[in-house]
Amino acid sequence: MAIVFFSSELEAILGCTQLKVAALSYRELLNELSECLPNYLEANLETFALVIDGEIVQEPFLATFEANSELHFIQKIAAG
Amino acid sequence: MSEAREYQHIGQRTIRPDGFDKVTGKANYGADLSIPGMIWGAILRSPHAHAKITSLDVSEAEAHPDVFAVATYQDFPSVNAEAVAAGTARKDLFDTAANVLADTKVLYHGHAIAAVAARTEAAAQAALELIQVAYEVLDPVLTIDAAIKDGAALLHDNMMTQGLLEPASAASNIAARMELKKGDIDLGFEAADIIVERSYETPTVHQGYIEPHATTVRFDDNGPSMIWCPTQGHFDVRARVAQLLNMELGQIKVVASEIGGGFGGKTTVYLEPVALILSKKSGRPVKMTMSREDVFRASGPASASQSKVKIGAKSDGTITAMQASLHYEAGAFKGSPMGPGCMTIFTPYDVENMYVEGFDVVVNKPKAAAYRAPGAPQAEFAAEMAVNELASKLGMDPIDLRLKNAAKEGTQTIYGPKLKTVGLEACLLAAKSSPHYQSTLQENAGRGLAAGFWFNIGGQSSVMIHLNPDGTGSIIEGSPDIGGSRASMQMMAAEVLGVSPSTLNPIVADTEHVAYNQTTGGSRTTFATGMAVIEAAEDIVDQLKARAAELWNVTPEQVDYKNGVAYNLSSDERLSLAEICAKAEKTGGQITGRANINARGAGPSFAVHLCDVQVDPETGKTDVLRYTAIQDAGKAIHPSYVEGQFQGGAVQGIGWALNEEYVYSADGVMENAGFLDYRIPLASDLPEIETIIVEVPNSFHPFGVRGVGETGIVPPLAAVGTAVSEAIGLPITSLPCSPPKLLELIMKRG
Repeated sequence: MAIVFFSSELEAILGCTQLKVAALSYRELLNELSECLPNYLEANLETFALVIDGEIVQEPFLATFEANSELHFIQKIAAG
Repeated sequence: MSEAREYQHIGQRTIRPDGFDKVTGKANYGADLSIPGMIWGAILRSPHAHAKITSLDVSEAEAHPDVFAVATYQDFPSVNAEAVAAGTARKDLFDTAANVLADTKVLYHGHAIAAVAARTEAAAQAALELIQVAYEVLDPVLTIDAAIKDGAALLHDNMMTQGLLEPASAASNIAARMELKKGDIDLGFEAADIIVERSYETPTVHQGYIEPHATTVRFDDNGPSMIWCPTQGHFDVRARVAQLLNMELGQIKVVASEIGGGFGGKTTVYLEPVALILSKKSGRPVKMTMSREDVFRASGPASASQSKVKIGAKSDGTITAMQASLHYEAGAFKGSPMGPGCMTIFTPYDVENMYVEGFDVVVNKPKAAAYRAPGAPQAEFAAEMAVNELASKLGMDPIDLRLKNAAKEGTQTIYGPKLKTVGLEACLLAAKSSPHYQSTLQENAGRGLAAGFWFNIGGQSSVMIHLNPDGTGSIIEGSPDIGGSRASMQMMAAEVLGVSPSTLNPIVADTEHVAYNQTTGGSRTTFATGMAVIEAAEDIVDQLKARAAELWNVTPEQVDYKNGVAYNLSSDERLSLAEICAKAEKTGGQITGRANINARGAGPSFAVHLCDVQVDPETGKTDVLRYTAIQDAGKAIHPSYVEGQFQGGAVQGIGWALNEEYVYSADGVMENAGFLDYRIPLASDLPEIETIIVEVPNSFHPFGVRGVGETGIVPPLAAVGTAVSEAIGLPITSLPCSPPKLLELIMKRG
């Protein structure tokens, strides 16, 4: 199963630091998280970028990943 | 891709396509466009740093015969009183609108209040005096300490701190708090044999772009209204103006003029929406420009910061814990780069236990804007100074200390993900063997070294490549060229197509002639727009093979394409790209390649800088004797431009470290709003900045590109700060190391 990690700021909202998920795509990931995390909506995860095995995906809507991928939600980076 | 590749054009130092226009004065910048019937806009700015507007009367100005129109906050239909009353006001736009034209409060000296458009520039300036404003002056809040102390005057009565462990119960000048952690920070410090702990501060500084903001607009009821301006992101100018004025995107065309520097400061709007309101009201094209004073007082500088850093290490140099508390000034409205500061501060280190807490603080200064690697220079200044102090206390070479703890592939960052292949160790080793580091330090001089990190980003880019019947062509892109990207696009397309770069003309199109492109920033353009160029060129190669197949009456699979020539694999026939284009009429019409992408896989980059300085004990003036910038570019598409980016970042960082700062009076008036008193480094101030390009390819880019624009400004603050500290034998904790401050330190030392 893929493992999704939450940063400290998300941990404060979601109440956990990591979770195993049976998901192979971003859509499946959000579906699963919305079912198992009570404060899912408050975390507003759709505004975050997703890091898939070290690769930052700023807009992950169509992203897919491996069954054993490591996933991190991080703030979208803007810059100068 | 990661294996070494042979390139035909990548890595060459080709002639820049925009060079001739720029050196001959032919290039058209923001203030260069004039349109028949055009009138001039001017802005009335606040004389107070913090005040309530108790009344605003523009009637006298409106009645003046030379005045065509007047604009105030109430002209923003998305947020004005009518929209609020109707419940349709856009919550996300209040701050932007109120920064462009103040609503009921002015929040910094120079804050725009109203605008007029008049027959001439002088008439517009004169008409401003006819606007009557009454103020209730409030105490200005000019520093982080003043903003966060109990009883501080509030800039925004309803602003509650976001990100606290418990929801805020009262309004505050702290807009947000953020916390990142890894491991167990207490255990990390318990395991340490030595601890370094110190506080640092950095000043408000400006990007210092040479070209002030300017725009010429023409509102048109029957077609798209036109905005001409120097910007890093004309699509985002279009979006923001459309939101503020309740217009559709298709009703606005933005043309990005040539740009005289941006560095992050031209990623937002100031004049454009105001000018369009004035144009709509007057029925005339309107031109507006900022003076240099306006730029300093009312465009977005980089945040001032206060940082506390604590680092613990074992006596062999193994760092066991890194902790920081970071406060960033956001200026008048929330939104400093505190987040990236928290995320980048310790990324150069592979340390088990880390903790960072950040605060976004509003003060009565202009709303902060991005500046190269926003947030990172302030934070990493603090971390790198402390690491250098640790090296000194341990008696270790600062490069060896960093090599012992360096982030590498697999290092878990404090913001979450593990790093892929990165080039920090390669940069450190290159620094160690560099002629600079091997050289003997001059007498009474100091040497500093620092590392720096920036993520780099990808994002949306759209490109078309059109080929002409003679085989020349145009690359139509939408990324304003602020650092040489047109040359890079030309070279990447030429590499794929196997033609000379000079046969392809790179054009930055307006918002009507190419699909959406994200703003040029974050070191994304050569990476992401470059990927789109490569994909569009590959699209063309596929079409060239298909067209050649038609001409030879074979299948495309029987055609190979290399170095600008199609080969018939079933005979010895060949056709050049130009020959295929010449016959395009017979095979289906002319050839265009396209790509619309949302690029993934931006490669993080690291840099290491070395600096030697000498400080005059009589005057406190610092001379930079030698400076070397080493950075992982992934792959340098055009090495001269890459070196230029390294040098530019280094020079801006040196200015930040040595001289640059906003100096405010007690009532919040910036006292040095000009280049005579706000001292950026000149060529004559500095030695040649030496550069070493390290190339550890980014496996997610076809040519290995990482992006180079941001990282180079991160290390200089601590490299210079440490060198000055060594030279005078005293700790440096506050930037800039300007002559009066150093002299005071030296005199105190005796």
